[in-house]
Amino acid sequence: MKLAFNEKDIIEGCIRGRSDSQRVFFQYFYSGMLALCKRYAANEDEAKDLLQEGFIKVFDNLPKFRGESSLKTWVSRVMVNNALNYIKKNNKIQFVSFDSSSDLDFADDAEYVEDLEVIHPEMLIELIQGLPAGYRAIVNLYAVEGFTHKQIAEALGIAEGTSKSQLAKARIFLKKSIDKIKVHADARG
Amino acid sequence: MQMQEDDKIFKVLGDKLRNYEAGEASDADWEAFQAVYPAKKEKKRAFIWFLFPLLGISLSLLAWFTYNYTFENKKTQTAQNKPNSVLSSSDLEKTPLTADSKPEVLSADSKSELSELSSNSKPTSQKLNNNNLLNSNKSKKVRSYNQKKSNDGNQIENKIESNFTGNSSKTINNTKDPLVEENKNIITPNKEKNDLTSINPIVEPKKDLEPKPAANTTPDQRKTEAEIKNQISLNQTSKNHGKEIDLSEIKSDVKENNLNANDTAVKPISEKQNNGDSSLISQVKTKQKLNVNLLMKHIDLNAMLAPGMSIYNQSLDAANLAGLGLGLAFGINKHWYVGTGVNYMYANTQSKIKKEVPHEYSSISKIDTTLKYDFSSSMIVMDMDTHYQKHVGTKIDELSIVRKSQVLSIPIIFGYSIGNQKTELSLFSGVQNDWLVEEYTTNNLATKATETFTNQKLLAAPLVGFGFSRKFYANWALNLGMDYRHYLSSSLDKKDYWRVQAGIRYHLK
Repeated sequence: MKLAFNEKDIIEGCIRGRSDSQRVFFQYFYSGMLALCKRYAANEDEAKDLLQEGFIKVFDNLPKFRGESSLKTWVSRVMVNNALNYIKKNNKIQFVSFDSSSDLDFADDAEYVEDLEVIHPEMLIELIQGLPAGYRAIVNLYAVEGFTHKQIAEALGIAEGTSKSQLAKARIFLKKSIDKIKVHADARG
Repeated sequence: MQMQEDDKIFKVLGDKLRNYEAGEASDADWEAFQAVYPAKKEKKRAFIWFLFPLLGISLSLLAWFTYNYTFENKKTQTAQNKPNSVLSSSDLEKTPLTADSKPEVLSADSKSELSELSSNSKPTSQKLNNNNLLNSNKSKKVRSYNQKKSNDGNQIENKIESNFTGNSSKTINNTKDPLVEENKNIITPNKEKNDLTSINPIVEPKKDLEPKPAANTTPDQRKTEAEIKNQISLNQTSKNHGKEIDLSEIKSDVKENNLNANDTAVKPISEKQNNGDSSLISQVKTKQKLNVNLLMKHIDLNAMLAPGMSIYNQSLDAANLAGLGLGLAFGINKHWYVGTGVNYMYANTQSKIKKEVPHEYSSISKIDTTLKYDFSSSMIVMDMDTHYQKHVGTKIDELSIVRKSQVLSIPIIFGYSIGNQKTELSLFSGVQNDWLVEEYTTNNLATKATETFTNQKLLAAPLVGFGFSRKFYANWALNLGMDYRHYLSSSLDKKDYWRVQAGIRYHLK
């Protein structure tokens, strides 16, 4: 049962420090924001830590919300920024090399797109969590948040070219991961 | 083309993940978050808002100590350094003359006293012990001196003699003695003898000049007085035209007056202490600073027992309030005062949702139970308000809400009062700090389950107000006041409050 909430009243209550309003807010955004945090985190525990910190920042900054975007977009943005800060703070933007030498060229992409559409999102999140933190951030920012390479470079403090090259490597990593899932699924019959 | 294919992979990935939601929040998730978030927030608020009472108390203490120290210091310094002005009676009481005191010009008013002194045919010792002479309002204004020690005798003699001539409106500060010869013609031999005897220790033996103790003094006091007078008289004689004038008589007279008039001002002074003004003044000053009675005179004690009686602008099913407080007002001077105190309030309110709530989780039910007026029997600004009357329901089927509030308030006010012995009107302003702990218990209509939420807030509100005070018996007074305060916190539905209050005050004076 999804909570439909009176945005204005709840925001007002949260700003005034009402615990009951905060609870409604927390419950309303919890699911979506947890999924967001999982994509940026390496595991479930790290995701919950990010979520908790993110909500604290959301509540603290709620008086600054001007309604220029939807509340969900604003909350997501706060959460993403919090996650990126966490990654940068912990020096996790390291583009470690992995085996990207592959014959998986771009011509095969159509096949992988079909595969992606049938894979459960939770499994896709696990695939992303398997990426090194730097690559994970770039994939998330590019694919999910819709950032351009320039914006990614600014957000992470890297060169634009680095963003492009690392995204290409991440794409190959994802393809390989999808292959593994398919093999595993075939083996299970 | 490659980029488009590349984008397509990530586009599908993004579409699938962007709106994905990973499970719902459990109670444990919320409690885990709440355990972290309020603590952080309250800590920050506590740091900010508790600065107010700390700042207020610090300022009050600082103001009090500064005022008292400078006030007493100023008074003693004035008494010590007043060369040409007439010493007031309080100056004389608080600043007894010592061996090093410099005699100055006698004012015109001194003539009456001196006339009395010289014309009286009684023995000098009796005259010096005449308390009425020195305790009269007129005589208290008399003593002032502006000439050097070498001229002391001459001046005093001149004053005495001028009095015999009837020239009463003239202040005599002439260092010469033209009137001596003139007055010799006026004073009869016997009278002259008596008068000269009274001021000249050479004419009569010193021991005869010993002032007799006052009738109401104790033996110890008499002994001490005699010691002091002897000490001063031995050190304080001067010559004038072949006659030795004993200034100590007049000075000891003043001393004696102090001792007899008010024994709280000066204690008997030993010979060792009697070295000069500074030691005496410091003794007086120290004594005044530590005088508990003086401190108590500034304090009003206000005890409040505050059974609740509240008027709400919306109907409540039940409302119980009770408070207990203690307040203190410290009078800085006749008009200004500082007040503070502490008050504890307990409120229990119960509301029922009258309107049926749609069976959706989205319902927001509001219950406006805003407190409009509050009567409490507290003298200083005490709070019995309920801050969180508006309740935002989070669940459907809320049958009722029971809300318990506990508020600990600490006001700091500065006030100005005018009036007479019976009635006072005061205006005050300050800040009130509240520590609010509240607890909601909601009953679910469907499940009959109860759920409890707790909340803690630290609030601050500047306030202004006025009050009447009417004394009805001894130190007891009835108070009636009204104040307005505005809460700074954004977490309150209603930030502005008016309040009428009545109370009882006990003045420690």
